[in-house]
Amino acid sequence: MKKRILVVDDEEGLRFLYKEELEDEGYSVELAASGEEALQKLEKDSIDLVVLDIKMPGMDGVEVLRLVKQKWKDLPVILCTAYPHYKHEFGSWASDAYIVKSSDLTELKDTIKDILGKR
Amino acid sequence: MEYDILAKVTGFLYSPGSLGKNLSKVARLIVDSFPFDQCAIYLWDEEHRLFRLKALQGVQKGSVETYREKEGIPGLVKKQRAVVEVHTPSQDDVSWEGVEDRGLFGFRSAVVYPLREGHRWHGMVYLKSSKRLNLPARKRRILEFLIFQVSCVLKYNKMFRNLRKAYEELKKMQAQVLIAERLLPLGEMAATLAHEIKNPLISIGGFAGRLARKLPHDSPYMPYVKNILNEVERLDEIMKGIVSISKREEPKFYREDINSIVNESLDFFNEVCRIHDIKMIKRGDREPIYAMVDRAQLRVAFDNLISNAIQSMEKGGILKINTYKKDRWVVVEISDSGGGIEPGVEKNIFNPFFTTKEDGTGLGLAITNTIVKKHGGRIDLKNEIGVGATFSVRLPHHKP
Repeated sequence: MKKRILVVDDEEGLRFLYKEELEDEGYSVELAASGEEALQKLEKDSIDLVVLDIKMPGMDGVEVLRLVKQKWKDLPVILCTAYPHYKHEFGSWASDAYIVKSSDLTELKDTIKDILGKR
Repeated sequence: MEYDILAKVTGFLYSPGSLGKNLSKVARLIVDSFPFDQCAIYLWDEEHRLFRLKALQGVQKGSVETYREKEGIPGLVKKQRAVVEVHTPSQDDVSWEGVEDRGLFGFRSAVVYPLREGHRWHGMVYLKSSKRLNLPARKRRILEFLIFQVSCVLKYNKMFRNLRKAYEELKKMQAQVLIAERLLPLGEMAATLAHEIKNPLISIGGFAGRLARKLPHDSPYMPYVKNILNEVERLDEIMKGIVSISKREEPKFYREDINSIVNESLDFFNEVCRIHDIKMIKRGDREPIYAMVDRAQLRVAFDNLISNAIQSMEKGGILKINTYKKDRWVVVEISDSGGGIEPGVEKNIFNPFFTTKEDGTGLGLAITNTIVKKHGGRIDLKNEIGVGATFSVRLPHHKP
């Protein structure tokens, strides 16, 4: 049974890239373009891991993380951001991993494998 | 006659020319017009806390170059903040009322006038006579007025110097503000821009990466894809540089051993130096030298300077690193033997986007400079054309 990953990012290009790359890795990938959409998807589908962008219009990633962890406290969340500014921010400590975005997705893939492997 | 003296002293004091020369003329006038054999005018050196001889007229005997704050009759004048008049029984006596002063040797009488204004000391006028002095009240008043004139001139002189100093500092600050003004909006705007650009850049790079993996290795299109990937990487480097220049990344200061950061950086470049036939020489204090720094940021600063030094010595050379404490500073010197920086280029090296390298971003030294400044330090360049360049990083020393 394929593990299901939900990718939350407001950038269409990135959602597409993550989907392609992660599907190549053998995951089934769901996409959400906003925090609100992500929460709806989580209610409906069973998801094994969330890849969450921090900087989004509307509800930002740290806020989404808080709501997700309240409701599904065992659901792993990987926070992603363009530059390592948020690392010190309190909210981001609650995530399972923190990744600086890069066009090379190796770190993300390794982290996902690592987290899902432990379960 | 008396008006003459006053007219003359005013003329001397306010004439153009150096203060020393003008004071000499005044001293001459005093010796010529009053029953003194020697007139010495001293200026107060606030930094070293002593009186320094500035003008001397009349006989040379018993002249003293400097008086410390509490030394001799001048010391007494400084303490009492008033005129002191001295009469000794013979010319051989060098003390008066328990105060020793070798300047008294050869004289019977002396008067020392303070040159001051409230707590602010300008100096003093030391007048000596080989005969016992008996100055008529009227003459004394003229002398006092003359001394007052000298005091005023010294005050104006000091004010003028302070004004000039303030002006110079203001000019320097203005130059810094200009740089900061140029950097700040650049930093802020660029940081926002960098965030906006980063995501599309990841897309481009990510998909190009996918193409590179999906295309057959010998595909004629592979060089195109590789080109895209390289350019994306270059843009990414530039963006990272801009973001680190911007105000958002405030350093977090901890007490760190500067030597250990420098050594880390040197270790990192060890292999590169070996490849390029560069000899690495580390000198200076071996003990830890502490400063309050953001370790990661400072490492970037040292890396940039060392990397620049290495790049200037493509055909080999000597990389010298020296770390030491000086006054309240920790100094790290990074020297290369790469022939120095071309004249004309020197003044631009810290400007963002200024580069002489074909593949440089022009951000290395700008970032380094920003980092060091955020630490309350500064970078100095000693450029020896034909020999090499030495960058000195100064950071405020932190006492354990």
